[in-house]
Amino acid sequence: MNREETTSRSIGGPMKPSTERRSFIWKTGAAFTALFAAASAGASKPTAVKNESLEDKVARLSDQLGVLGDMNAIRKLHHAYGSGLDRGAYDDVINLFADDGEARFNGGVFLGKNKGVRRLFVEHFGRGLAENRKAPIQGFLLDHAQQEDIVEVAPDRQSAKARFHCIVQSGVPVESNSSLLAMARLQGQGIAQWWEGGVFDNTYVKEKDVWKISRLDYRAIWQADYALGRSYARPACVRPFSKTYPDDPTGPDMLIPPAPDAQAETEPRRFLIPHPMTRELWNG
Amino acid sequence: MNEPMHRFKYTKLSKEAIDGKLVPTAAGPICMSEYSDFLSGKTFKIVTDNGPVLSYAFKSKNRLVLAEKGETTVESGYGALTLKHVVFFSHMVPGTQKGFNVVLDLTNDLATVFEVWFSGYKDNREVQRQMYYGYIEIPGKESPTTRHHLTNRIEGKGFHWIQDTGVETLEFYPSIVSSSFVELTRRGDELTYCAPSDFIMINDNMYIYDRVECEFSGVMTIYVMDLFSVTQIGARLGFNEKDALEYYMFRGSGEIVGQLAVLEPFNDHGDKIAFGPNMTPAAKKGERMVYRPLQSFANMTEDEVHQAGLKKTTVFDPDANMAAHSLPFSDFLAGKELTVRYDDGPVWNYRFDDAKKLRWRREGEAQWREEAYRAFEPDDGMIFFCHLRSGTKPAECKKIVLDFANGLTTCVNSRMGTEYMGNEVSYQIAFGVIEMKGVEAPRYVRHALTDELAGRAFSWSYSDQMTSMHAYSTPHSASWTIYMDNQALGAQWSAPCKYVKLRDDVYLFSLVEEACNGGQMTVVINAKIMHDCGFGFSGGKNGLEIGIIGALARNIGCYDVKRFFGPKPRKSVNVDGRLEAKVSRNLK
Repeated sequence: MNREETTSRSIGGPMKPSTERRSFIWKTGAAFTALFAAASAGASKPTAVKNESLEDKVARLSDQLGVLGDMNAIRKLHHAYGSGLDRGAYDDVINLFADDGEARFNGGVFLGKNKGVRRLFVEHFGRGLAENRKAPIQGFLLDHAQQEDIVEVAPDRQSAKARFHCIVQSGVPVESNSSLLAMARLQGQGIAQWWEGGVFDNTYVKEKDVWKISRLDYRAIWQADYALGRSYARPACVRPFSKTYPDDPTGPDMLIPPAPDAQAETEPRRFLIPHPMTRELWNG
Repeated sequence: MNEPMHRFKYTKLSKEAIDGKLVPTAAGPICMSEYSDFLSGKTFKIVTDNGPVLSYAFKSKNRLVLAEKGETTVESGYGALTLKHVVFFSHMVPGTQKGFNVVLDLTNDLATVFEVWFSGYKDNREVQRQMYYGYIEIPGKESPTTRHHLTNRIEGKGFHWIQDTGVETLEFYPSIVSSSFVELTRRGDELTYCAPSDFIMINDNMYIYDRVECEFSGVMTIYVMDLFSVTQIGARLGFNEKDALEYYMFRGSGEIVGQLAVLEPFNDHGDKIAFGPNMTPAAKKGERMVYRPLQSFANMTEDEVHQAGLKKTTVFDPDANMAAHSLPFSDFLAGKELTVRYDDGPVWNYRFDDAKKLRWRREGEAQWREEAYRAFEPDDGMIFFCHLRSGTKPAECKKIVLDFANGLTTCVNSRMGTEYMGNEVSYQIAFGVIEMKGVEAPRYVRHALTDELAGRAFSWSYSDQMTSMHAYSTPHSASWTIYMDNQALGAQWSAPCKYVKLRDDVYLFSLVEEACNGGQMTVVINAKIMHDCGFGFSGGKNGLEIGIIGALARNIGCYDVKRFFGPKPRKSVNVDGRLEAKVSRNLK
């Protein structure tokens, strides 16, 4: 992605985009502007270009429509991922990945849809959290509220990047053979619950006109006690993987350095798109 | 030697056998005190919410006629006792296995009914009960809208009770759904037992309490207590360990021996029990939360435990549930060499290669054995370390306190298996001295068993998600109770244990969850820093495990009970002789 080029272009401004090497951000920016314009009832016309020929106009609008379609498809794809994960439908989740897709989670890289990715979702999540059922076990709770999604579709519309913020309500049965837990379960407890805020920085690939997850990269940023809420959040403390597969039977194919501790309250994150008014990118 | 209740094999009584044993109840309960004739000649109807409507006609002070919902009347013996404005009467329904215990509150015409019955659970002898709140219907008078209700107002209290039978107990209410009790006269083994219980408020000073000794005899005890006078009136129904019927009423008096802290929110008055979101609702009348470890714990043979241990042995997992608040490991022993010499016991040489690896041998042996170990420093100059003894069958584990400041050592030497089952830990505690350059060990002073913790209670938070309250209710046992979501105390169980005084405010506590999950917890409690550290040792179908334990404590309070324990002349108890004589008379 050529950021310099991107920032130098105005969104919906007079500069005619290069049809040979169209700015991907220009497209998304135009799309955003179009959406913004539509939402603000005639505040401005959608990305009109002066002296634009009808042919160019049709091409431009078709392209914008295509990008919007791609963005929606990617959002749907990610929502399907979140929904599948929340329901413990791990096989369905795996089928959202490209064959050579990968998942990055807790300092581990899981390679290949039917190898590493399957190991992460079916064997690691599935066995530990859902006891290999195609539905959550009693006490298991995962509810991703997806928000602040930003999708960048590449110029050739064959790949894309996206960032999705999410707030997760999590609850898992505490695993223990102790009598304490047996007694807690008896009185309806034995579940660890917490809030978690995290960010997905994903990449996507279009295969035969179908968008698939090329790389899923989730990073938990903060966690908070369920009752106390986010005001009492602390940096996410998820124990990273320490061994690779097969030493860890459900472990990753590679280890990567865990992300540095983030601030619980906020974390500077660069924007992926320019500010819709100032056109500036913010790198945090 | 008497068999503790958790080891006693209570007879599985058949329904027919219970029918036969209940015949004497038609005459009503017996009582060492005079029954009240308050109800004699009275007729009234008790209406309960979603429960029975009971029409009573009291022919005398020991005969009544009952019609349930206006159906056929039955005549039965009964007994009634009064305590201030409360009348408590009890009777069974002849020809059935059910009966009623009824509390009448004469100040406001409220009534609380406990329907009781046998053969309602797979163990027929266990008394079942269902509570109904209601009122006495008085023609021409508007029905009261209030009811007696569940409460947390007596949560945390402890009592010493002496019945008119001579039966003497310590009874603790640390939970809102369970209580624990120590039989001071019936048994005298100074062990704590737990039973699911109800706590119902009549007014600020009067309460109703009941318990059923589930997992044991199944006997029910119910009484009304007045906290102003610390007196009680009650009844006991069930079959004791001799399978003899106990159906009697009693008066009692006592003292409040203490009050533990209650940690619920200040606007929580306990009228509802805050079970967690996954609580299974009662499916049938009388069903309630009952912790049944004696039934749910799967016994294994020594060989089965050994085989499971060969498949998987986990030692010192830092991510274990009870390790989240552990003290840091100590490297104090790294590079040191010493001998521990126990009185009339083993002598072991130790070499500590580093903070996690040691070698040991019995004195006189040439061969050193290598083991992984972990050590904590629970107090200045004191180390508590643990290691597995590899390759033994059954598995063995040593937990050793090294008190360098005093030259003393105490060892908890544990092995898998007891005479009862293979997956239960047995252990011995040995006291001795450290032999090491620079350490001057005393000839006679030793760490020693103690009753200093008896009566005290601490909450122990093993992690931010797991907290239990330990009440060290006798010098030989402790109970643990689990906090609910609103920090009311809930499910509870108990086990024998041992307490060792290491120093002032520093104790070693070792407890095996006997007939429960068989695991052992051995920790050093430092009451100065309100933190413990130690090790768990357990074996089962998931293998063998030495776990790390560390918890943060809060002082929950203390019961003044030490004076009730220890060998001493006991008053003779005539409950068996006198009651059995009365039962015999009834049988005639």
